[in-house]
Amino acid sequence: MSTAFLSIFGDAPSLRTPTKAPNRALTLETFKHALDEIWHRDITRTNANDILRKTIQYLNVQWSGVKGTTNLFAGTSQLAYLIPRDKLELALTAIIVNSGAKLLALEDSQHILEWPAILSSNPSFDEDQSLVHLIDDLRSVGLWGVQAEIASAIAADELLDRLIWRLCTQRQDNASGDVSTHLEAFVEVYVEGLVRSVPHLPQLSRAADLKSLAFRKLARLRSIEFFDIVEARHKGHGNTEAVLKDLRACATKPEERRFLLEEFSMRLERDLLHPGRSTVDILDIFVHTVHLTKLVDPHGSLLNEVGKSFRQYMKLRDDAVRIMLINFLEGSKQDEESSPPDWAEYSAGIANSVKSGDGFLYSGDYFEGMDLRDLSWQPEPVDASTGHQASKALDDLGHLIKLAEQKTFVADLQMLYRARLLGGARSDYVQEMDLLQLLKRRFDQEGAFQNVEVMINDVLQSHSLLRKMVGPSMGETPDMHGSTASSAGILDASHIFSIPFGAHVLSRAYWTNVEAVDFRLPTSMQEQATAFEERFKILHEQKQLQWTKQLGHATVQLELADRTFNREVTTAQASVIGEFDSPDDDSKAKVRTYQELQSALNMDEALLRSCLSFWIAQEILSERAPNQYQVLETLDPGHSTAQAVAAEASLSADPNAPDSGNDPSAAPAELKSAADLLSENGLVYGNFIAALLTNQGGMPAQRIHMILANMMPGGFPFTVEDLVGFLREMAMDGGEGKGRVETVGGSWRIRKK
Amino acid sequence: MATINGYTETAQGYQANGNNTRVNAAASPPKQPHPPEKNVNSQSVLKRLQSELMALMMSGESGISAFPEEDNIFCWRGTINGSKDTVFEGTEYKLSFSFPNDYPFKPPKVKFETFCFHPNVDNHGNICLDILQDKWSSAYDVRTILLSIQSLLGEPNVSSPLNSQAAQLWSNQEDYRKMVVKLYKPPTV
Repeated sequence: MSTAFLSIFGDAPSLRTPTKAPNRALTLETFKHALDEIWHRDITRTNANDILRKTIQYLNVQWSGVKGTTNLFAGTSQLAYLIPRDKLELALTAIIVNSGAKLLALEDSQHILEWPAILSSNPSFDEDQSLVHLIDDLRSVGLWGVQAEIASAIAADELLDRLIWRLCTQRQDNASGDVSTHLEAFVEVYVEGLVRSVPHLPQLSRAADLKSLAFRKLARLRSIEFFDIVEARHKGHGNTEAVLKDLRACATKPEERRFLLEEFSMRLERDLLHPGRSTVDILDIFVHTVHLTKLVDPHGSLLNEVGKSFRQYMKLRDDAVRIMLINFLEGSKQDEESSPPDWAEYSAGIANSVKSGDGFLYSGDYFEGMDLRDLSWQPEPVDASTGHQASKALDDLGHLIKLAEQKTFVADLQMLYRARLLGGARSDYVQEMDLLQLLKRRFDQEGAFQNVEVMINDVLQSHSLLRKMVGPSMGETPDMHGSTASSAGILDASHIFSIPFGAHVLSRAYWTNVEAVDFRLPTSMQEQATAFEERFKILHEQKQLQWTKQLGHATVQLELADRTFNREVTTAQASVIGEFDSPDDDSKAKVRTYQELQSALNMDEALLRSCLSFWIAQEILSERAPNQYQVLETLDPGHSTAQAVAAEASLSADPNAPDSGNDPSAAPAELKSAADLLSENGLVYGNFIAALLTNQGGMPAQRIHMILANMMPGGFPFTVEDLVGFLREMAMDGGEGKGRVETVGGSWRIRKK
Repeated sequence: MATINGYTETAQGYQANGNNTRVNAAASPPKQPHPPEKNVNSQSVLKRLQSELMALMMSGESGISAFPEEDNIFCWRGTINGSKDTVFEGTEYKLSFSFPNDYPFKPPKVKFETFCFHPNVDNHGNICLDILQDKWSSAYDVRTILLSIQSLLGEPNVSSPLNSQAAQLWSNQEDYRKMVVKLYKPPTV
């Protein structure tokens, strides 16, 4: 007791002279100063080992004389507080990462190919045991405490990131390039090495924790890739199996699924659902999305969510249904062997979906031929929204059709069928009938397709009606008719009709847009029509026949001085060109004024103008002077081409042309250009812009565009360039530049009165 | 809860138009708004304001206009031109609208931003107009407010003035016109 007291007392003077007896000058001040010397540098991966060793060395030297105190310090970890906490963590992390990277061969690009070998051998964190020694030393000086646990967690996190990155980038070209299966093995190797080399870390040596962390990281990485995978499928290349397998294995927790959904939705908004992508692109990608999300998430709750954004956006695309239907119709013709058709709106995905859509229930075709109707059962995901059950039974076709609202779908179906059924001579309507049957069987509710059914029926009935009129001659030409009614084309009824003639009898209430438009037909056609009418009256006494001449078609053959023209045109167009026919007057090409044509044909102005534009575009007629038309017997290349181009342009693009909006013969559901739409709704947009500029003062077009996009319900679906064009129009509106707005120095404002 | 409140208040507004005193007395206490629904409602207020904007644009009324401020659809700026054949002919006045969170159950705050020499408008631009106070009804909208203020310019209520000088002068239209022209500062945006 007294000895101890003396010894402490005796030490006391030496504290005042630390330079002479460094071993005994164990004040916290001196420790701190010396450790600051060592630790003042930034910690990097390369110097961490060095710094730690220097620290250990210093402490050992200091304590070589007073061994007894070492344990005191180690036990309370006081030293750890003398070293900046974050720097100590960094250094400890660095040494674990260094060894771990060596273990997993992350640094070595050659090594990576020998991974299977690494996995099968029994690797350790450090062959020369240097890490084990270092950690032992650190423990002995009290630097391997709480910080070590944090450091090894950070190290694991970093190593997993690097490991997954390496696995994903290195194995892409590999056939079985999925990462998830390897990842598990690697995590096991890592944990094994960790346990062996880094003792005293009970919490973090649990393999299950690290595995789930690794899978979560992989799921995130693959989620980011998912949209690119869909895009790659759409373009028809890319090895996508790996990513899908990984996603299926990893994205199982609600958290990961939400991340996948959010990431995918974000990419959809940014890269797909915008005016720059064509409708057929979007539809095709949608089909692939359906396929791939089903692989990742067989329950379809993911697809359910993604489908919402597609549906929302497709409301803006009014050509969507038409493109779908055309692909359905044309696609069903295609065989697997034949090359895909090269028209722009063809999508193999859409076309195939109708073929596969024949079965009623979702079958497990997507899983490499396995029938997973039973095997794939899994409990419903937790994050499944209500009502997702309904989508499970849908296949590609069902999902596609669900994109459109039923009302628009049926309306577009009618328009398309109208065009196809009446579009000239056809011998069979098998595709149309098949598709209708399929749609009816699958999606019919409350007789939505009834009108379309009547339409097909009308056309088929018309064929048999014609045959009835022809009467006994039917037996004489059996090869013309085929065995079924649907295969009968326009009948050769030459003993009744002097030219090949056919007519469809349409039930009035079931066809859209079939109001009768009257004009005078060419004499030869009129005779046939009258003959048909007489016979019809005999067969159907109760029914009234009314001609809708504008829907008809005629094959026109023109013999001009230097060329012949043979094409199917509309009846109205045929009638107009018929007026220029001059059998008895051979002298010169006939000149007709607009008034003459109008009184001769008794045709609606808009229709007549559009027919004339058509013939000018075809380079058959030319407009010599305003409202004076002449047949172009010989083609003068330079002059007439320009005129034809102009006429063609006016036919298709000019919004002011009387024929563009209400021409009954125009093809249905034609996509309007943005400029047209802008001018059409010009009044409202004009009021918006005027109100904006009145109340917020002048501003550049860019800003107007932004505000309109924010304020208009449903957004402002035009570009800044469209807007500038529109503003210019507004500025010119009143004539002589007296419109509502004016531009001053790049900014637009209300014109002061 | 919100719906029920909405109904009573709407009904109150409609009846108040025809017959005010009795209904005001009988109406449920106005100081019980619906604070808990504020977040839920702001979406529907937003929708309402958007559709009002659309309706205003579709109507294409001349002489009045309004548009939300760039970053806040709850604040609008409006413009009114003085009607023809009134002393305010040829003038243009700026207004500000500020919509409460429970719009349209409560009226918006409307103020003149340009000085207006008018019996029912005070020096700070506050307007005394019954439909903006006790006779507000959710059936009104921005367009009707603008039209009401425009017609208020030509037909002031001289009996309860905010600007008594203007009220006294109103009987002499010639002098009043001179005063309007003298005090009128065309707005600069």
